[in-house]
Amino acid sequence: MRHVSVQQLSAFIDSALSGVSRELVTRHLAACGACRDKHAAWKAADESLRQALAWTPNERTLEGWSSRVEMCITAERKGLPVPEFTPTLLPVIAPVTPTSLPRMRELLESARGTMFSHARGPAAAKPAEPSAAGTPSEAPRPAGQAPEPVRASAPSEQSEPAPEPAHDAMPDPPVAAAEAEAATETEIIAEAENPTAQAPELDAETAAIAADDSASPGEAAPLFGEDTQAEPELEAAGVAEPDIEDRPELVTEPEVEAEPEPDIEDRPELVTEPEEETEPELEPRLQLEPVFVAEPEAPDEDEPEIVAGPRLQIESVFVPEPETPTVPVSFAGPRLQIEPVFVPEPEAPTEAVRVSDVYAEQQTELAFVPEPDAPAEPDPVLVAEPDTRDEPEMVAEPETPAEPEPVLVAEPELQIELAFVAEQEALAEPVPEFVSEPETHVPSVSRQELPVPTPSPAREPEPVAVSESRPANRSSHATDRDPFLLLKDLKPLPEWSVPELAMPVAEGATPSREGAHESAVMDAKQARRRRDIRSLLVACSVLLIVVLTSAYMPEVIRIPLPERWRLRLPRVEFVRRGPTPAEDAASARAAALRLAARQPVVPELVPPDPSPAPVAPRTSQDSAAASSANVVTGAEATLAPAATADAAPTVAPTAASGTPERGVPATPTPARTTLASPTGSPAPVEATPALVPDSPATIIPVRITKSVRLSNPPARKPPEPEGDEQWPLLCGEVIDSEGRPVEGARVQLVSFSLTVRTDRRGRFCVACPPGVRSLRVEATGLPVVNRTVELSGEMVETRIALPPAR
Amino acid sequence: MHDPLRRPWTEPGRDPQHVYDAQRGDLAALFTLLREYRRELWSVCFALTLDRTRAERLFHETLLRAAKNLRSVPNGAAFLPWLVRLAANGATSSQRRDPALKDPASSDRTALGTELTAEQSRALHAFAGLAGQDRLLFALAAIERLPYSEIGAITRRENNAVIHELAQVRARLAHGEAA
Repeated sequence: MRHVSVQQLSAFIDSALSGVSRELVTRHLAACGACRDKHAAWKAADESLRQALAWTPNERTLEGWSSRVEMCITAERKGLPVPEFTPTLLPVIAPVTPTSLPRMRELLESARGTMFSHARGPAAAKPAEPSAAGTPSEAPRPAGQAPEPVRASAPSEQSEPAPEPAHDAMPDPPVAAAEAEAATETEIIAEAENPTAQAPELDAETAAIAADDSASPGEAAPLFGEDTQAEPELEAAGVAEPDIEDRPELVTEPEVEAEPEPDIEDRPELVTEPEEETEPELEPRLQLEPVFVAEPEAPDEDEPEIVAGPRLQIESVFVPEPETPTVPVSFAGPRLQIEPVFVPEPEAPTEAVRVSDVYAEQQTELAFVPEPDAPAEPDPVLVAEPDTRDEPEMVAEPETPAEPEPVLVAEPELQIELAFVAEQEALAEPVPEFVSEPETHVPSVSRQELPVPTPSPAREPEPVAVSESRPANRSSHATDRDPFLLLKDLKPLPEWSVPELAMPVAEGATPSREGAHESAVMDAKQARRRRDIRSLLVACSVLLIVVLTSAYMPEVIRIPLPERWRLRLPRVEFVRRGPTPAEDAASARAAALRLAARQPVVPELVPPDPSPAPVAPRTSQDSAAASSANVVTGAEATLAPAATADAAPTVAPTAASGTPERGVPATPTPARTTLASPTGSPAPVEATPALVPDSPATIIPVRITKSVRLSNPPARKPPEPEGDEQWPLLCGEVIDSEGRPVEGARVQLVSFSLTVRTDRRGRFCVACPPGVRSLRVEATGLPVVNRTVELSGEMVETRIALPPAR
Repeated sequence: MHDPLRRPWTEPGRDPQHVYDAQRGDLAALFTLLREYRRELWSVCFALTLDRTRAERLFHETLLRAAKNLRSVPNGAAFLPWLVRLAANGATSSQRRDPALKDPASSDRTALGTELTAEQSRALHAFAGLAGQDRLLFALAAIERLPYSEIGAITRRENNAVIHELAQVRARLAHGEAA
């Protein structure tokens, strides 16, 4: 049996076969067990790989990536440093499970440096205490209370003006959104951890989360710890982002829509935060609170367990569109949310805590806090995505310079500004948590080194203005919605955004980037000044050298040029206005060496010369003679002082006529000019060959043309018979040694250089004057034969046999 | 084999105008292009790297490289095949720079982010041992289910060559899986 080929089998699997081919393969597979097994194995492998590699990030993640790319491209087009991003698919997200929520709280607490002892269990959890200071720090909450939280803020509390409006009154929709998202993703994570478990429905999942947390809150921490320990590579490199799109219930994402404003005041943990008192810089941030509109729809009045900091951070991520009516909260600068997150590390309280460090560890975790109670409302971000993406202006937004700020580009700056506003109002005290700069820029900034920024006047210092100034379609950018993107964006804050801020250095602060920048500017100015001075010195020295060496420079500098290069430059001559009395004719002659120019120069009129200069009449012989010499023959020129040449101008006798015309300025002849003395007396000056007097009347150069014609040697013509004389014909036959006619042999009459060739029969015939003639017969491959023939009569017949070749 | 609802990868569609505009500095057109094919690009990047993090990095780099080298897009040609080739070249370059990326061990569930069955793990391990071009070929055929004509247009191969190489890839996969 002939089996099907691998190509046929592969094409059959890909359904690329049709007709008879497909039928044949089908029949063969039905009959052949081996091929059937192979087909099954290949198909199973295909299916396995298809399932394994079919994972696709959700639309929001893709949107975030696209926004990153657009940000980079925009920065690149504008000549700004391209921001670098870390992968968003971090493994931190993966281990988030319904039971890992307490662990998330632990991380939050540990980030704040206060709750390490509570990290692993409910026993370690701190009872919630109301935060009087209103700092963003959250009190540790028992793990069992974790699932409830999210819904946090009560409407009544939101409407109340907070005495310290910092983060207490800040809207918490991001928290809710993040929690909702986390809730949806928990099942994904649970699936990742427990592959056999199917993703439950959302309600069931949230219920399970609540039950899990309430029943065994202590399991969360160990479970999370197991995850992180069992999969260290996840944290190191790989990231498992839940595929929300694969789950229909996640697509709706009802929790995300519910962005209740968290009631921070209800959170006792904020009050209990020890860092709050020690961190007065957080208070000014509270002033930003009025900016945020309290959400009336806070269904759950239970105290939110989530740390205020992360909520704020998340909040910025989920900024509702201004035009979206369902989202009452006006988004503030997303950067505000970052600040609460920054908490000094517990291990080193005296040292400054870099935001990026804490951030890198928990950013994703903080972002995803499930909110089981979140009402099913449409996610503004997700809903707005398809609409906004189709809008052209949304895409072009980063390009529009007139717009307040390209969202993608300006966000990092805005973040810093807002934080700066808050901190400035905090009496410029060192802000330990505030290290908004990326790690790459500020590797280690101590708490005292942190500068207190001053809001740039060009920027909008208040979040309200920022939020209002945002275009309506701002939500099209994933940076406003995607927590991953924002959280990651903050870490590698673009370097180019920092210098724009006016950041006065606090006391004790070491010179930061601004100092370096100023010093760099000063260095650049000094370098430019030195460069200018150097160039000026060089120019002066060159000028000095030219002046000094001018006395030794020749009057004429000859630069040989190629023949074809016809550079039309005017000749520059330094001509004195006239010989001074001290100068005599000899000195004038000595200095009057000039070369002939191509273009004729109109000579000045001179007084009539009674005795014309001995200029030879210009004839053809003259031109011929001139052609023999390339220079003007001075014998034809008569020099005379031209001091008074203007007095009685007269045309000198032309070379052609040889007779001067008095008083009539005639057209000067460019050939030769004779200068006469103004007095009319012949003052023939000794002719100087090849010299042109340096006088106002310049010697007209002679245009010399050389023409040499080379002709071919005259072709010898065969003698023609004179009159009626008839030359005898010399005919013959050229044969080889075997008697065969030689075709194409050259028969030459040596005396007349007349050559004919033999025809196919080896015969030739040529007319030639009578007499004894020499013939030279040449044939290819045969030796040359010379023969003498005497021509007489009318016709002479000969036969020439060529000897065989040697 | 091919999803009729899916837009052919090699269909020029409105690409030429977008490419034309993007080549002349229109960022909106460029962003539209990059957004339009990001899902397909991700699939390719994921199949080429077998790692989410690397795939994301490759995705990012490919888009940036596409923005830089946009002028090299053939006139009137579809944008996606060019983008896919760019990604494949980027993956090849990355593997050359870092041979450790060729390690099939990266194709574990950690990198993929999902739990794999034993069969999937074996298949994935065998798949990780393939060359980048073979991965691309297989991904286009078996995962994206593109017709051979489109695969040939993307990889610049003749249909017969596609059939032959794809069969070889499947044979190697079966062999590697069995091993």
